[in-house]
Amino acid sequence: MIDLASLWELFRHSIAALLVVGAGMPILGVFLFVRRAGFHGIVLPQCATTGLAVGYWVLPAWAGWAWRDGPSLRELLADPHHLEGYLQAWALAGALVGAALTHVARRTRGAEAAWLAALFAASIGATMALRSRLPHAGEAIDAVLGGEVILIDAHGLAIVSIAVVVAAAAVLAARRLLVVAVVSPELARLEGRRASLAELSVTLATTLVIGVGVSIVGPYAAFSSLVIAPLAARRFVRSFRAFLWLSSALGALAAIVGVVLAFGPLDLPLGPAVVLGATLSLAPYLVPRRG
Amino acid sequence: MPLATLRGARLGYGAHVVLERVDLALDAGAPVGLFGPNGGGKSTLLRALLGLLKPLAGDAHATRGAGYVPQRVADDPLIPVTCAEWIRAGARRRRAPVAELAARVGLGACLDTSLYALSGGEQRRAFLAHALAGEPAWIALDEPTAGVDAREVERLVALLADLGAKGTTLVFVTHDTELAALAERALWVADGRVSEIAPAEARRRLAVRPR
Repeated sequence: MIDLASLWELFRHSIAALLVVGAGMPILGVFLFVRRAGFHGIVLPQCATTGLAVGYWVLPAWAGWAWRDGPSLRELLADPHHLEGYLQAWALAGALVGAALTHVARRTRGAEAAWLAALFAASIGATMALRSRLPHAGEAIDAVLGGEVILIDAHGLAIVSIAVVVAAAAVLAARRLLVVAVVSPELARLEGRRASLAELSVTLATTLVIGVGVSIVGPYAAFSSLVIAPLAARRFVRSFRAFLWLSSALGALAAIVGVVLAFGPLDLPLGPAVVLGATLSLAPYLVPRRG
Repeated sequence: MPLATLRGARLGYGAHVVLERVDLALDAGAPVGLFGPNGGGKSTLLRALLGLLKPLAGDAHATRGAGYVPQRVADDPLIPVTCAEWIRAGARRRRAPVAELAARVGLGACLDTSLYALSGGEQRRAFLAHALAGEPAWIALDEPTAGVDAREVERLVALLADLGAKGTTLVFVTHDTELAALAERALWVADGRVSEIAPAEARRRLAVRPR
């Protein structure tokens, strides 16, 4: 039996960060879902992970230059808090490169899905190739890939919370224009510059939160929050408002189920456990609809 | 100042020219009907007047703040939207009189209904309420009665007549003789040209021409 009180006491920042990501990222996932860009919710976190791997690759050179009189490379790697900002910057850079490439893929029209799949494959290949060449950071990259978030501190929690709140607020503020753009692109064109600006600001906010979120909770929790929660919620809602709130609630619930699966008798890695928790919410799709 | 003007405009898509040398000024007030055979360029002209289509040559000017009821309305249920949310989405102000607008178009009982669960005619009216929520300078409607049953046509025509009587400038594309009766100015769009004709003549042509 899991002692939830002790669990919370020991890992409260990590669990809170997962809950923030679980509840906040689905709001961005809704934005991707309605724009038929659900695959971006897989590709962008993966690109952010590649960005992290590149950051670890560059780290020895960077540490020798930027922290000449500071901690050694070994010390830096032993205490991940030293590298928080550095790694977030690299993850964000990876997400931004991914966002730019997905934008290019979107313009290929019919071939978009194939390009996104290719980008995902290239990104995961690059991550694993870099990981194999980085003896100093192999464990750290594995921890990110596994979503092992037990070392999150109050600072990390604050960063991810701010990023999620800013991005979710951008989506909520632009939701009226987003609804118009999805239901009738021609009407959105009539709205002109405002609709384009709303779309751009939400895209940038989504990229920001993916970059920051992946560096803190890993790509798996991001995948499930961005992709699975909105898909599960869509079956039960008929209003956009309900879509946003139910997606958020299911994302938070998946995070809780993931924590239980990870810290319970199954002892699963936390990231995959959150994905499994979210996948359970898709079960109603197995039941045929009446009528 | 006219709501929209086209001067010597060539309208089309890439190399495909649909209308040549269009000179037109759209003034506030009288309802305008765009008539003509299918594929003649009515929707192209309407989109140019709205500023959605840039002329291939010549000048175009469209004032901002037009409302628009497109020919193709919501048919993709990827995004869940209720009727109330759709009307609110058209508003420029934070607090839009959503219930009042829905009642005005006869959808007062459908506020919580999904946009996709509405019939074709009800969807047209929901789009009209969406346009009205934006307090438009004028409203363009592209075949608002297409695919709509006779009762719904009657309802829509009465609604548009009421809007016109209350001072909203309407510009519509239609093949429907009942809706055509609202037009006080008629433009015949065919064979790459736009010509102004008497509204009665437009109705006569609609009655005898195949669509």
